[in-house]
Amino acid sequence: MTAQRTCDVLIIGAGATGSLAALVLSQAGLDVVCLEQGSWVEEKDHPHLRSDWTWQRKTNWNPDVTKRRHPDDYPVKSNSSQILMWNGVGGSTNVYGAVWPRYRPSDFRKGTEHGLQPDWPLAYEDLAPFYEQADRLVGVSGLNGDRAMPGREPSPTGPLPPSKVSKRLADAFDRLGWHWWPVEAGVISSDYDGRPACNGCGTCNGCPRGSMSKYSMSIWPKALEAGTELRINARVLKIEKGSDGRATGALYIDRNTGHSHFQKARIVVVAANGVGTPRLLLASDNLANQSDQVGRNLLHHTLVAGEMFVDQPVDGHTGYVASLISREFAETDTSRGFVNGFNFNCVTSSPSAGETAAGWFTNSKAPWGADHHAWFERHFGHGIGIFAIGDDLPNPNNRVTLDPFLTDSDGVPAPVTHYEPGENDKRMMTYMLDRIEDVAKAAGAFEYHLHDYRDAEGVYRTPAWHMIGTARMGADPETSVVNKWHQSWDVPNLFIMDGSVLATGGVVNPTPTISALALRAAGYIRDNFAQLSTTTRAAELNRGDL
Amino acid sequence: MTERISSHAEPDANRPSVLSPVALATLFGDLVDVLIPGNENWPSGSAVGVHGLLLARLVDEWGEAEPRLVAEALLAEGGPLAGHDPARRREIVERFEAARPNLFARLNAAVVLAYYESPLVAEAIRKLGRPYQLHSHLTGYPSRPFDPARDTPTHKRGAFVATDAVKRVDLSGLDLETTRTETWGTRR
Ligand SMILES: Cc1cc2nc3c(=O)[nH]c(=O)nc-3n(C[C@H](O)[C@H](O)[C@H](O)COP(=O)(O)OP(=O)(O)OC[C@H]3O[C@@H](n4cnc5c(N)ncnc54)[C@H](O)[C@@H]3O)c2cc1C
Ligand code: SF4
Repeated sequence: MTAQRTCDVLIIGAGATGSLAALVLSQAGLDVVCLEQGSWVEEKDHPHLRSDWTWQRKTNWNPDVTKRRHPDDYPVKSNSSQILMWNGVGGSTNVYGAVWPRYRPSDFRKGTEHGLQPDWPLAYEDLAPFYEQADRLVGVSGLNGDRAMPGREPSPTGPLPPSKVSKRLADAFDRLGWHWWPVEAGVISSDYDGRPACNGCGTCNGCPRGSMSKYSMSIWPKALEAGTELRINARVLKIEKGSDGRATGALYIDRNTGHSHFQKARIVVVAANGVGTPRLLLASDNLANQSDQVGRNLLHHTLVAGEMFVDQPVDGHTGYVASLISREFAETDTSRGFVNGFNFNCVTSSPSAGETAAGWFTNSKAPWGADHHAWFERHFGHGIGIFAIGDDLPNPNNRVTLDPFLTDSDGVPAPVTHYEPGENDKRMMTYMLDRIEDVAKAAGAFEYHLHDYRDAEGVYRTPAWHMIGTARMGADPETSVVNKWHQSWDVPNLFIMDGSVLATGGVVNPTPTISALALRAAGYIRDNFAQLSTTTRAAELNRGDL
Repeated sequence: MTERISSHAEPDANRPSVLSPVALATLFGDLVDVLIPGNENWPSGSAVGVHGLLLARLVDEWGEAEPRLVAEALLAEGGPLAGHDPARRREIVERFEAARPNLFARLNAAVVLAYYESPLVAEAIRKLGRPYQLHSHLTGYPSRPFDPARDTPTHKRGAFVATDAVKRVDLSGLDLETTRTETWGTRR
């Protein structure tokens, strides 16, 4: 083990939030070191430029960490959800879809609304300027003027080209009298910030062109230019705490050499995602967990899906993966039999030819044998996919824990995740499926299939691309892990930057909110660095306000 | 694509197959043609080399012994397929599917994906009138840019509850604490 200099800020994880924190803090002239267990994901590593990309999406480019065999990964055990993430510079943005909607004001006030979730310690209005900042940095497309959302600045680039799918669905939503709007995307519709506009290739699963904002292409170059020292293949084994209650730095292993090092730091920022962060805290002698909330309240969103086929070709395999969003059911209406709402916020195009025929996310697939080609001719280019995503209620038993035996290749215990939808979630998902049926009928589908992500035994195996809530923020140290500035209640110079701080899931994909929060928290560290780098005052004494 | 019938560490991985390599090649070629036969518009699976790709993938993903194990599973249901008429071939494969549903599903998915990777099949798709590129990420697909005059929604729908307008809702009718919904989702 070798000793290193004491850096100002040590960031653990070079994913979406780690990169934003690195950018803000190094631009302020602070000495920032970022440790990332994985490596750079180069253009050639993506499957997009190869004929076998559909096979790769099932194997070594599978976003499910339990299904691929990649040396940068750590083992994750799950008795329920599929665990979707990417470990490397840019984190899960290497494989994400960049659907880019914002939370709505009521998402921050669920405690007031019904009390089955907490209020956030901040309001939509506190975050609004950081949504704008994130959009400019990330590069976003969208259309202003949606009455279902608060006013906002125009997106940096205009809406993506409307597809035949979106036209068909817009007509269906009009027929139903439901809200719809062109989807906001972390994808640029015109050249922006040195990256080329989306070319509508339809292979969205990450995007090596950089048209979809992969943070290793949009944010990291700026953070490196500003002086962040990024160490790749550097897996953090443990965060250490001193006798004064402050974090002293992190022990990590250089996976290239096998040597371990200790990086001393004045402030430690954890940005390892909703599974990696609770895992690391629990493995660091239960750090920052006096509340016993670390790892609990794992949220994935309620998620159900449908596939429908229409007579007129819609060529859904072309164009960006999402086309429009419906916020018709976003707010609570208890006459539906549940609290909270949902969006049709991933109205997607259909997959490639092979994936259409082999089966995509429902049980729809081409038969084998003589009828195969007739089925394909009838269905390919005629398919439309739709997801409904809702706000799931937190349950302390839905959680990330540590496996007592299994470890990664460096001896850190593997995380175990458990997630089971509750009563409210089940009612919501049933209602969502009924509404997807309404859409299919209104769209004139000749055939449609529904999917509730339950296996033959009835276990809900959602594709958990949203992993949030496991180190949630709050106003009360008894029921939350960090305060409104992401500062640990227990360890005053420890900040949690990633999606695990989200107190509720909202009805949308979380990365715009995660990114806005990270910019806000990083700004707070920057503006209060002198005091934060020495204080031993526990955060709960000042409730987050220095 | 995760369930394995074999593993790379399978003890008898070196045990030779009961079929000769030539017979195995024929068997896999015949199998992919039962799964994806050809017609005047579409080449068959074997015509575009699906079985070659398939065999490589079986080995890469599930281990060296996998082709032999698949062949043996097919033999157990009446294979090989050579020498039988189309109806009997289908019957053997149906029995294979019924006896080993998970293995069959995995195999069939791998066959279908390999088939649609072929440039000759992409050509057949284009002949249907659908745009289709195997390397679409390089070329993109043409699209009509968003035209604000034409494409901006004209409906006036949509509302949100502002921060200060969030009010307590009445939960008394929901019985969330006491009710246990067992039939939900698609099994509702
Ligand atoms: C398939 C898929 C599709 C998605 N689609 C969307 C979408 O359309 N819209 C949307 O809003 N969101 C989407 N998401 C979610 C989005 O990717 C995440 O919200 C976002 O990346 C979270 O950022 P993060 O910083 O919390 O974590 P990540 O981006 O996951 O980064 C965490 C990083 O920490 C590193 N790390 C973890 N542990 C250690 C350790 N011990 N030492 C060193 N490094 C460590 C990891 O290697 C990783 O690089 C999707 C995700 C997936 C997987
Ligand atoms: S459709 Fe656009 S965003 Fe998606 S992968 Fe292709 S170029 Fe990238």
